[in-house]
Amino acid sequence: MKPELGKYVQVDLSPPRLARLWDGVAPRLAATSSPRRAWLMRSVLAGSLLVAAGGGAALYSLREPAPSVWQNAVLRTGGDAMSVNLGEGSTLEVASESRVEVAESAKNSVRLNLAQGSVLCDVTHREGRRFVVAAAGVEVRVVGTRFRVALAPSGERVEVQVERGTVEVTQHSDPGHVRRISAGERWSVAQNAPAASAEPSAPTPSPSEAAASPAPSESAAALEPSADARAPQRADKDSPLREATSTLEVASAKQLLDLANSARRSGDIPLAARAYEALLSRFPRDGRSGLAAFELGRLRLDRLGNPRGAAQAFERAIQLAPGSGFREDAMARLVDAYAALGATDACRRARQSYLESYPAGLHVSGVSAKCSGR
Amino acid sequence: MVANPRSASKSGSGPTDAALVVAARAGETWAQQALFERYARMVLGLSQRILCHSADADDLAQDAFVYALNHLGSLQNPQAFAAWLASIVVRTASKRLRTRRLLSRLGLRRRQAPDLEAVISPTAPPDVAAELRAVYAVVERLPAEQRVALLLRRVEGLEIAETAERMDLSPATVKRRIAAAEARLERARRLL
Repeated sequence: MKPELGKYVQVDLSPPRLARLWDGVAPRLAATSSPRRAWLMRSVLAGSLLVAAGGGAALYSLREPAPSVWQNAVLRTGGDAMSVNLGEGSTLEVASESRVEVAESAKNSVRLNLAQGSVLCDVTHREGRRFVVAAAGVEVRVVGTRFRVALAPSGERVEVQVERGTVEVTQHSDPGHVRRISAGERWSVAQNAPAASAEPSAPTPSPSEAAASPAPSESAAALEPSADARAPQRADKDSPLREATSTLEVASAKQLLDLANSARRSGDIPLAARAYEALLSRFPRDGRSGLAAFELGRLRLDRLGNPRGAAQAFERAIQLAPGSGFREDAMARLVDAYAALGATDACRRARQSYLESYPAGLHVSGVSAKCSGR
Repeated sequence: MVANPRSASKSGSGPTDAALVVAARAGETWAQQALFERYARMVLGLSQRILCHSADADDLAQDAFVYALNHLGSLQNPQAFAAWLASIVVRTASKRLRTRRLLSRLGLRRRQAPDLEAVISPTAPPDVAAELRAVYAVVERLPAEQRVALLLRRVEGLEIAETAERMDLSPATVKRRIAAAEARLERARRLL
């Protein structure tokens, strides 16, 4: 019989160690809602409310519902869509042939499971309230926004499209990696693909609340850590990114570039972005800084859903390495970044700049088609 | 201090994991503490057996609980809390080991050899102690996923399917990782 090796590994499980462990856990838990939840506890055990629609127009609106009414509700549609008002200003538009389960509906937390079809959510911002839509192992977390989550009929692909605001998306297969999808962007993943291969697709050209800022200043000021660096850091508090921070503060420029490139190739995008940012911040005049800025811009645009930060980085790359081999690519990607932001004027300026610099360049046809027009 | 989960039930057998998860989701702090109390030993033990160093195991266990208790909404089957929590520990450990290996390769972090005499129980039979020494000496040099797969299989005693579930990999991939790790282990033994 094989020996049970684990039994013979010593682990200190004494009460003091467990108490220290809890002392470290408790302060980091998300703020709970009001302590007087007895009524909600009773409603958790209540039966389901089934709402089905079919035939003609099926509009169902519930005014001022008590949260317990929605708890465990199932919203199922047949041939027609259904609109539901959650009573605090948020609405759900459940598409035809769809099924949405209300797994949780409390004052500070709403959780929907999309089992079939698609749902368009127009969510009112409420401070401290979590609003989550889950579909096939993907979790979309929102704070005041309008977005759609769609599940392919086979259940193998989930698509998220944001019309207003920003959402954060995680996958169960990669819980520490948070992607931010902003207004005008679309993101999808095939369920059998590894987490690192999920890519944001080309953004839809819809109006954006975060759009239309002028091009970043061309001064030599260091790039600020962008929202994507903060967001993954917040979400990755539970990940090794925190541990690498002190390393980033003492490594040389070469080490930072090597670290960033290796992390990028191995799929650790937040670490790669942080390493590129550290290089730019600590060694702005190093010969590698232009390349670091370019790679950072690519990560921000293609993997981190941060076109604004990407535009900053590409501008910086162009400024730092005017004679480099990647300058043409950086100028072309700058156009992509502004297009993703919906910043039409800046996009057109960048497009013109590229076409003047590279009239027979590699990206002429792609760049010419950007910026919605002339 | 920490709530006694048994006090929540008149029968004395304690609420089910599902009931605790539902209550914790609803914001009941006592339920969060109860889940912690129920599984702290499992999580700490698993963390220690994967990472080997006590301080690292404490960090990993803490991070795993924080993640799990903050993301209970994503748990599809509340009754499967234990397995879900274990898989969070395993995946977080893998990620942590990958980053460390990367930092070590780039000379940005010093390798810390585990103190095997502190790790191995004095009650271990000689053949078990030798096996554990060999396994832990080899895993320090393995890629993260080979290390985790080997430890789950050899030290935790999980079957291939269970290992695959914990690591969120296919059984075929797990078999390959374990085979590669076992080959290294065998080569290391022959050198002794």
